[in-house]
Amino acid sequence: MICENCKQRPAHVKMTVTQNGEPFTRHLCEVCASQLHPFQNQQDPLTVHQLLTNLFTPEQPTKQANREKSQWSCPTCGWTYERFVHRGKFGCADCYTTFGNALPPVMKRLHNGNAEHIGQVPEAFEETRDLKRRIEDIRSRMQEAIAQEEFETAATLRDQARELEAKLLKGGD
Amino acid sequence: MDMDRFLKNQVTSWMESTGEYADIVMSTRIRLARNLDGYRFPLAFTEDEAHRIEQTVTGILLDADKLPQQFTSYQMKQLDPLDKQVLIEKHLISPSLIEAEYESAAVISEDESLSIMINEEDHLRIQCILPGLQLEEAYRQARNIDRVLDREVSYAFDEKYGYLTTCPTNTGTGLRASVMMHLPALTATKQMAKIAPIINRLGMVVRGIYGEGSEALGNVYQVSNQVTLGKAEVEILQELQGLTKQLIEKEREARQALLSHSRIILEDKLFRSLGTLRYARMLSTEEAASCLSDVRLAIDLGIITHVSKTILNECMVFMQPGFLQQYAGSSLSPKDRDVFRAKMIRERLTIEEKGENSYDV
Ligand SMILES: [Zn+2]
Ligand SMILES: [Zn+2]
Repeated sequence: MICENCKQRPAHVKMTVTQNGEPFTRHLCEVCASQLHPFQNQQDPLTVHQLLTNLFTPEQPTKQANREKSQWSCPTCGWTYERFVHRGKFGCADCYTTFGNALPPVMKRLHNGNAEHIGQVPEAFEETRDLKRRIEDIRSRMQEAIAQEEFETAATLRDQARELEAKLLKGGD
Repeated sequence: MDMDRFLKNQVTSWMESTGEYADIVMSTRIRLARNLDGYRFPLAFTEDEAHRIEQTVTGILLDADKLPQQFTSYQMKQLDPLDKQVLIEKHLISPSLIEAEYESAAVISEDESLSIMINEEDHLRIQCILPGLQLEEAYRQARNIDRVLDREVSYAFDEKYGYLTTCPTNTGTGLRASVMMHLPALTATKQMAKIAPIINRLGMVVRGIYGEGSEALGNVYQVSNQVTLGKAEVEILQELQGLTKQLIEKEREARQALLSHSRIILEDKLFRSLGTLRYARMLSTEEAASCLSDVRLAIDLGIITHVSKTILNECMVFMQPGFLQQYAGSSLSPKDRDVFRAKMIRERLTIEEKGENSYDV
């Protein structure tokens, strides 16, 4: 289906809107749908679809890179790279890995320069996260000790780190 | 139908005028987007996957003994179209939930403050709506449901990208926090158009929540965070809280300015709106919204004293087509709706004038 508004792009968004108290469904593309809100003139929001299209069609694409990307296809949901760009959405969790190389710039643009999660984690990941933090901490203390030429301390710390790393590997099993 | 009873049955907890800063913040909403590991996301999953997800999640929520409230499950495919419309108008489900290709459902708490949408854009959308400004509390309640589910299922999660969602705009925390604000003075003084782009630069967004087009119907706006990745939940909540408080302050200043510069003109306008609501025999959504906003402002300013604050919250919801038709008990043409809208609001005002405080919950 083609967007009712621009009659150009495919209508991926089904919106139930109320006009004069009358609800009706409009079939719009993501670009037109995003413009249905009150401040579009001032803020000019980039939709995900626009963003992806802009990012993934650089002015001088290297043919090699494009050929490579056009062959990406998610083994779990079957989505191709083209489909992902077109819809601006993921088909499954494995798409994040499949299209992983293309993601950092997209995420940075969408999330004010951020590309890594720092919030809550599921319980199952909590232990791993804590272990990793402790190992990092020990490693940095070890570097300090080495810089101070306190080699005995450094050796103790190294052993501690190894112990935790072994635990991490076991936990990840 | 008896208006009094109808309204009492339909008032949902977020429509109350309790909570902090309730003169300007009408309600707070928290939404967590989650997907289950091992199933494709709703855009790519099969009917069987949809069914299994729905069964699993509904089962956990209906059986959980650690939940603070009773929950009821509504299967979208089995629900009457009008009932679905009403759930949408109460903000308990989204329009896309009822448009889902396969099985989709909503599990809703007794007081309707918590609702979990299953198989919307993501497998799970955990939502909590509370009256007034209560970001922390709403988050706590939504997170509680999240924890209960986390113990029973495994979520699609990645150490780098956090909670994995269908849309990259939700990736990370999956958290969308919003406050619904009544900003008539900032709108009247044409400041909203200037404020909106500034809010955008802060990684947040403001939009009208009722109606479409260039105006926010009833001067009701929704302010929400846009960034979900690279910020911890508390940080997102604090930033929104800070921005909300600034908007509250600006709105209060603008209200005082309106009062001191042109009190009689303002009073005249607000009382005329009350007159319209009380006597009109036909009201379009736009006119009703604008008059309701005026009356609510007059209540907040102490100009009108015998009408309860919840009138704006309630009538903005009840005057939508789904509710009106449920109230009328039949389907209505747009013109009939205007008649019923006027009738509903008139009756709503009369109930209060009879001196019944049943709505000052
Ligand atoms: Zn379009
Ligand atoms: Zn995939």
